[in-house]
Amino acid sequence: MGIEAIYEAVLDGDAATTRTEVKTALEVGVLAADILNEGCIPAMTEVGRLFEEGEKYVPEMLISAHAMKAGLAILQPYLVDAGVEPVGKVILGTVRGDLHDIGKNLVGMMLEGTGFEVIDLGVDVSPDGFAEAVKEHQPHFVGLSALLTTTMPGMKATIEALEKDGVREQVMVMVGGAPVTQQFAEEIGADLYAPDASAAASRAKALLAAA
Amino acid sequence: MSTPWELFKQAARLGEPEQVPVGLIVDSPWLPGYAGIDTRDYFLLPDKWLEVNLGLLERFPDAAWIPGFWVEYGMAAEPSAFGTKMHFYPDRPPSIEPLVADLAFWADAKPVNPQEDGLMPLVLRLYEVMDERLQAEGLGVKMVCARGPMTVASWLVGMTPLMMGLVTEPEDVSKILDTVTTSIIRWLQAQLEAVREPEGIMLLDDLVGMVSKRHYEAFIHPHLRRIFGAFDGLIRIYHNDTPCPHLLESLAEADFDVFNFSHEVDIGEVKAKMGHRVALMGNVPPLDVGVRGTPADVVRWARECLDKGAPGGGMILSFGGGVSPGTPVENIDALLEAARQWSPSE
Repeated sequence: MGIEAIYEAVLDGDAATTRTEVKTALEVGVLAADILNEGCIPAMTEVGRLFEEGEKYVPEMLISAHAMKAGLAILQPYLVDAGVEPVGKVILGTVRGDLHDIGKNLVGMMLEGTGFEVIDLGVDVSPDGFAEAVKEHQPHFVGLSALLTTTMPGMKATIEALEKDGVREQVMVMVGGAPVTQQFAEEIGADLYAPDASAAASRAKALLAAA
Repeated sequence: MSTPWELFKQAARLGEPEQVPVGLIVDSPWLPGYAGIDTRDYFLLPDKWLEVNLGLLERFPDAAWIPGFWVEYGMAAEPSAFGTKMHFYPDRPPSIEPLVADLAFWADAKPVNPQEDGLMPLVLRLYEVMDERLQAEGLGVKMVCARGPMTVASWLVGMTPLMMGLVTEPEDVSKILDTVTTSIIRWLQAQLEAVREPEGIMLLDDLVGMVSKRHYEAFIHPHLRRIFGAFDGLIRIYHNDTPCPHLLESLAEADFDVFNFSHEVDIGEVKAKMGHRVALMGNVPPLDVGVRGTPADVVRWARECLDKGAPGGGMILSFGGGVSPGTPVENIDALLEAARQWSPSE
C-alpha cells in the first residue's frame, strides 16, 4: 500500500496495479505531488539506471513508462489543482523522412518520468513543423530523434529552421538516435546529446537547472 | 593471388587467408550518393543500377562487396509483401509506415508469397535478368538478403507495440514472429532460385540487440536458428549493429557464419565470446571514423581491429554496420591499404 507500492508497480511495469495504488493513495489523502515525486519519478529514475547498467532493456523500459503514464493520467487533475508545475517543457519529434518512433517514445517517457511536460509531435516532422511548434508552445527544449544515417541531416535542417524563424536562442536543442554521436551534435550546433533515453532525461534536467 | 571474394569465403569459414579480406556492406543509402544519382533512379533504372555496381568493382577491385549487386528498394520489399505503406523520396531510401498496430490482427496474418506479393516479384525478376547479364561478363549475384524477424515485424505493428508486446502479449508476438520467419525463409529461397550461382545469404536485424537475453532466447533465437538452419551450406552473414554484449554467447549458437556488429562493442570481446564459431566482420566506426575521420584515422582503427580480431583467422575487415552515406573514397582506400599492410608479426 501507498507510495512504496506505486514505486514497485511502476518499476515492474504493472499499469493496472499502478492505477489501483494511485487511486487508493489519493483516497487516503496522500498528496498527488508526493505520489509523483516520491513514487513515480524515483521509480522511472531507477528504471533508467537499470537500463544504463544493462539490467533492463527496451521492452521493460517501455512497460514501466506505460505504467507511469497510467498513474500520471489519474494524478494530472490533482496536480493541476495543487498548482504543481512540471520541471520544464520539451517538444519532441522524429525528423523529416524518419518514421521510427521507438527512441523518441523512450526519451519522451523518461522525460515525463523525470517531471517534464512533453509535447510529442510524432514522426516525420519537418524543420518548419518544429519551428512552428517552438513558437506555439515556448518549450525549454526541442528534442530531435533520428534512427537512420540518411535522415540525420534533418537535424541540422531543423536547427537552421529555428534560426531562420528567430527562435533558436530561446530553446535548447537536444539530439539523439542510434547513428547520432556527441561529435555530430557539436558539428550541427545542438546543445545536448545523450546516448540513451535515461541519459537524455537526466542531462536535460541538469542542463535546465544550470541554465 | 585469391580474389577478394575467395579471401572472404576463406575467412567466413574461420580460415586465415593469405591476406585479411575487406568486406564492405553497401546498399541504397550509400550507393546512389556515391555515384551521384537520385536514389529513385537507382531503384528504377536497371542499366544505371548495373553501371553503378560494376563501377564499384572497377574502382575498388580489392574489396569484397557484400552482398554485391543487391536488387533492393531500400527496406521496402519485405513489408510491402504484407501490405504496409511505403514513402519514397528524392535522394534517399523509402520509409515504411505501419498501418495496423494491433498485435492480434497481425497474429492471424498469413506468410507472404514472394512470387506475387508486394515488390518481391519485381525484385525476383530483376535478379533473373541482371544475373544473366552479369554471368555473360563472368560475374554473377553471389549473395541475397532479407531483413530479420524483429525488423520485419516492427514494420507491421510498429516498433513500440512490438517491444511492449514481448512483455504484455507474448503469444501474439510469437505468432507474428513465426509468420514473419516463414516469410523470410520463403523470400530468401525465392531469391536464391532467381540467380544461377548463389553462395550466401545475409540477414539484417538490428532490433534483436534491444531485448534482454531472456526475451532473445524465448522469442528470437529459435527464429534465427530456423532461418539460418534453412540455408546450411551457404555462407550466412548476420548484421546487427545494435550494441548487444549481453547476447554474444547466445548469438554464437544461432547458426550463422559471419557476424557484422556494432563498433561500440570491442572486437576483442566479440572474438573471445564468438570467435570459436563465427567469423567477425568489422569493426571500424562507420560514422566517426569512416565518414568524419581521415585516412590516417581509418588506418589506425583498422590496425587495432586487425591486431585484436585477425590472429587465428575468421576476420573480415569492415566498417562496423556498413558503409555510411558520405564515406569518402579515400577512407575506403585506406581501409583496403590497412588490410594489405597488416601481418600478424607486426
